[in-house]
Parts: sequence; C-alpha cells; structure tokens
Amino acid sequence: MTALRVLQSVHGQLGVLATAALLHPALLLRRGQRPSRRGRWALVLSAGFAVLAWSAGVFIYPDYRRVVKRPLFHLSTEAGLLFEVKEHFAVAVVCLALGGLVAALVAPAGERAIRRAAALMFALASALSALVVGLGVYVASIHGF
Amino acid sequence: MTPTPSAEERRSALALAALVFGLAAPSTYVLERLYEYARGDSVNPVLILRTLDTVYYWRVGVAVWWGASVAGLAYALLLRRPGSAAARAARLSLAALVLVPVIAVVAWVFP
Repeated sequence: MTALRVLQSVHGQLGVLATAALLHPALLLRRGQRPSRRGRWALVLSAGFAVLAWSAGVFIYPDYRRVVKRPLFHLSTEAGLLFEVKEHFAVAVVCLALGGLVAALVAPAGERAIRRAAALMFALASALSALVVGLGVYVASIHGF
Repeated sequence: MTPTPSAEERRSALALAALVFGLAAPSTYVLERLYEYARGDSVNPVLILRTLDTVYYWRVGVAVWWGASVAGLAYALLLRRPGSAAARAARLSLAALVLVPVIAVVAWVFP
C-alpha cells in the first residue's frame, strides 16, 4: 500500500462525503427559510467537503499524470477519457457549491427565492458530485495507483 | 442620480452575483475546453497524454477569474438597476436547470 494509494482512497472517500453533504443544504434551503446558526455551519461544511475533495484530487493530479494516466489510456482509452470528464465535472461541483454557499449566507432574511435558488445549486452540485464519484470508482477499478 | 442602495439591496445583489458566479465559472470552463477541441489539442488521446498537468490548473484559474469578473459585473448592474430579487433568482434557477445539464453533456461529449 503506497502513500499515493492511501491519498487516492482518501480523495474517493471525501468525494462520497461531499456528495452526501451537498444534498443536506439542498434539503435545508428548499423552502427558502433562513438557516439557523447550526444550519449555516452545515452549509459551510458541505461546500468545504466539496473543496477539500477537489483539492485532494488536485494534490495527487501530478502523480496521476506521471504514474497512472499512460497505463490507464493503454488499458482503456474510454476509461482515460472518462477520467477527463470527471475532472471537468468536479470543477462544476465546486463552483456551484461555492456560489450556492455565498448566496445562502448573504441573502437577506426576506429573500426566500434566493435561498431556493441556492438550494437548487446545491442539489445540482450533489448530482454532479455523484457522477464524479461513480466515474472515479469506475476509472480506479480499471487502473489506479 | 441613482439613489444609494440599502444594505438589504446590496446583500441581495451580492447573493445573486454569487449565483451568477456558480453558473458563469463552469460555463467558461466548458467553453475553454471547446476552444481547445476546436484548436485540435484534445481530439487525439496521444495528445491528451502529452498535455501538461498545468493546463488543467490554468483552465480552472481562467474559469474562476472570468466567473468572478462576470459576478462582479452582475453585482454592479444589479445595484444600478434595482428590481425584484425574487424574479431574478427565479430566472437564475431556470438558467441553472438549463445550463448545468448542457455543461454536463458537453463535458461528456468533449472529454
């Protein structure tokens, strides 16, 4: 078990956590109610998990390119291209989560529609995050660290 | 002369601008990718293998920078033209429902 393999596993686990965590603000804000202090912490943590999972991926990305990418494409071009899709989706997840987070935190108390829109952003981020996790598991099953 | 916006109007504008960022940044990312395809960089898997990892960081950096710029512009426009934040949030929700699946499909078709 190499350090890179552990990091890959941590990255995957964080991704699963982020997918579940991003669903929570989508449910919390769906009626547009102003979140409580705990709720605001939950929003920050949800977006934080998404950023952390993405950052872990970025951290191991140079090693992925050096160690995994070439054999992966050699074994399956389709899986190699699916990894590219995964990294594109991951960017969208982080941007949607951060946009939703700031909107939910700064929206005035009476602006329920803004918080409902933020809930939608979190829901879309969670759905895309689930796809990222699925693609990551599939690609890692073909070839990993 | 435009009246000075209230603290509430500023917060509404900032929240809406954040939603704009959430949509503008990934859209920019996908457009950058399409531009790379149009240039012929990413059509051949051999070329993908030769791509530096810094290309991804730059693509993300440009997308975030442009997303933030569009959000800043939206914030300024929203302050200059006060209106119903609810209607604007509804329009942004609709835009998200259309844009995010389009972004996903484009990213899938042009990996």
